[in-house]
Amino acid sequence: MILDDPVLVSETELRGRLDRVRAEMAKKKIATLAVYDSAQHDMTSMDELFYLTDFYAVGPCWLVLQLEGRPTLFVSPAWDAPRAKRLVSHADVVPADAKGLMQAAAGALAQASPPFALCGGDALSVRAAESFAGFALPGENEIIPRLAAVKSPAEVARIARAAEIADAGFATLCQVARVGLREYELAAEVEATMKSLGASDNFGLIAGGSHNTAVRGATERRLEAGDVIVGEITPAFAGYHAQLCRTFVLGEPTPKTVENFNILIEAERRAFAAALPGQSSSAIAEAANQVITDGGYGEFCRPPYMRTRGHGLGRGSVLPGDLDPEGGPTLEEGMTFVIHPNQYFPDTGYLMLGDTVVIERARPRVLTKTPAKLFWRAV
Amino acid sequence: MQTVHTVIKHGALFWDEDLVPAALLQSRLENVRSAISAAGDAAWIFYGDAERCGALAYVSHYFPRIRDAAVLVTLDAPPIVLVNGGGRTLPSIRPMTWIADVRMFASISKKLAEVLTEQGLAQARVGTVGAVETFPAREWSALTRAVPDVTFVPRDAEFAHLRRKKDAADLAVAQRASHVLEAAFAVAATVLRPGASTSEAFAQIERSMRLAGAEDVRILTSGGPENNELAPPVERRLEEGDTVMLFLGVEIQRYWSEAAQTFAIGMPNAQAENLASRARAAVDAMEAAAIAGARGSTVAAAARKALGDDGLLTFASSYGLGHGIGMDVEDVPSIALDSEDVLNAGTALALHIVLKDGSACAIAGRTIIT
Repeated sequence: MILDDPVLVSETELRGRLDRVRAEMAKKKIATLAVYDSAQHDMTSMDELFYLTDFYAVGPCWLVLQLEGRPTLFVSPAWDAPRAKRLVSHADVVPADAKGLMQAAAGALAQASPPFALCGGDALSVRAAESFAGFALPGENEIIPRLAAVKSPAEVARIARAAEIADAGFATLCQVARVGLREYELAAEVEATMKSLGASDNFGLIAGGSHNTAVRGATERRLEAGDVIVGEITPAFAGYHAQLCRTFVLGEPTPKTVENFNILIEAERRAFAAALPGQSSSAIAEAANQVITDGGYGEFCRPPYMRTRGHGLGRGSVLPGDLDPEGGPTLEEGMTFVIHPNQYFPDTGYLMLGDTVVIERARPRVLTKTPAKLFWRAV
Repeated sequence: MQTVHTVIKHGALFWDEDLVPAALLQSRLENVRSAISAAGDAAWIFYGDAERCGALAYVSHYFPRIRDAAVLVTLDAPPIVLVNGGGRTLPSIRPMTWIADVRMFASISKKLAEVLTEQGLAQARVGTVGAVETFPAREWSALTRAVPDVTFVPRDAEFAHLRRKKDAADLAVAQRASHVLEAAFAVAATVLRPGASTSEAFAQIERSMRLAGAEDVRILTSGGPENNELAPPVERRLEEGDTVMLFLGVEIQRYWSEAAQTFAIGMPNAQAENLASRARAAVDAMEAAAIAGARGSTVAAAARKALGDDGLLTFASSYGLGHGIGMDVEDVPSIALDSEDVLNAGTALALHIVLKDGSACAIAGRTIIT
């Protein structure tokens, strides 16, 4: 159990976020911004409402933000409103049931000043859009992710805590994995460790096999001697995710597996070296791909043999997004994301290595502390 | 049960063919085709996302762990499963469904338009199930623009009627899920004790369900002596005299079940014990009233009579008194004082009562088959 107090985002910080959003609204001549959260949480998406309130929604919610005055937070289900009132002191909280939520938000907009803009509208369902008169409002999905791209110290602290939990999860994987254990039992043990340390969620993929083509969800398959177990471990702490990708062999790895994994180690090292403020995020992918190409596997540096060389992690801004060689945003100090040169090799199958980093001036600070090596245990 | 939706379905991903045989899934397909024919449609699209995908799972036994998926069922061609994601995940999806034709997509509107055209349905009348409630509106607009001559008709009511006939797999899986919940509450009884960390305790409770093959687990609990409403779990140390309301949901082989109990930490206090007893009595009364032919309002009225206190009932009703449960975590019929829904034989019902009286709180709940 980690005994430190939870990492708090202060009310001052939240008010500062609102002020910065309002300044951008004014520049864009937006008088009222309606922010929708479907409560379908997604590890690779930003949750703008969460960023502005620090409230992790159970059901669909709206935040109506005008240039002046207190914002209004509409919360469903209505029984969750007392929690929202305790956690969100800088907004007026209005309970709403599922059927009334859209009308309540539309009613608030009717009382607010135009011009309006809508954030999160892509998540509105057919039914929700029918009930929400503002569905056709202009979309505004850039202001908040852009402002949030550089994480605050409190956000980084949460991600660092999540990274610490991910390390503990992988340690459990190494300790518990044994011949005969089902994949989902292994995943359950890993997650139990992380939940006991305070993880609120986890995007977990754990798979074993003699020749994996990709990582996947845990199945009923029983682990066998010689299995290569790949793990994408992505716990959340106070809403923020960190990701650790590692490979564990149940038995002594073959020389080829060691050789290929060493390529990943070098690819990650070079990718870290390219992760500097002012650089394009595409430089990270290019650096990783170059090492894998030099290793003789250049033709596999594309889907379906890999997906991306890293990506942002929610609930804060997920900028710079996927790390691909085709170009991407310029890196800034304080951005956080995972770098993972995970790769399918035709002779050994899919191998995983990846760590969560925060961009700093001279080099990225790696938040996950598990050594970058191929783990294995004799059976 | 409504609680925080996770970023991914956490648990075991497989198709237990002993519990849900292929022959039974084939018979479900035939039931669907009969319903399509009766409606005069050429095909039905079943749509769902990771949060709500019961209709999709009924016909395909597939469920999306993240994002969304759809199934196209025509009157005679083999059904097609469409899954949001890249091609490299396809090998892990195939074993989860009995349907052979599985295709991946990046845009549901583009893929559906493509498949409807390919199947000769570009000018047909096509029913939809699950689309109105869950299909993203902007994607829906794009779909209707892409295939302007398709007439889409919501068939949720027709599908709900079809689903009233519970099959053997429904009942077998519901029973399995209930056993998993019973075991989880047994674990809770050992780990919820003075001095325990709630994070550690809930991790053990969830672990027990995950080791039993749960696909997904949901937990709501009370937040402590000062926050005695239900909420997602937060870390705290349990103290002598605390009351913990524990509301659990578990999904096994695409089938949800839920139950709730109240735990006194250390020596129970008389007020909390009395409230817990009244909650259990109200659930007992609802279960006794939940017979085939009864209305949802009748079942709710049984709770009111058992509680004998409209103030308590009003508070309990704010969380809902119950609902159908199965391949969706919340389904028809609704259990409420104004519910006109009629119960059928063999319906799975989740019944629960949440009470608060001053600083005391209590919960009771279980899943029953009418």
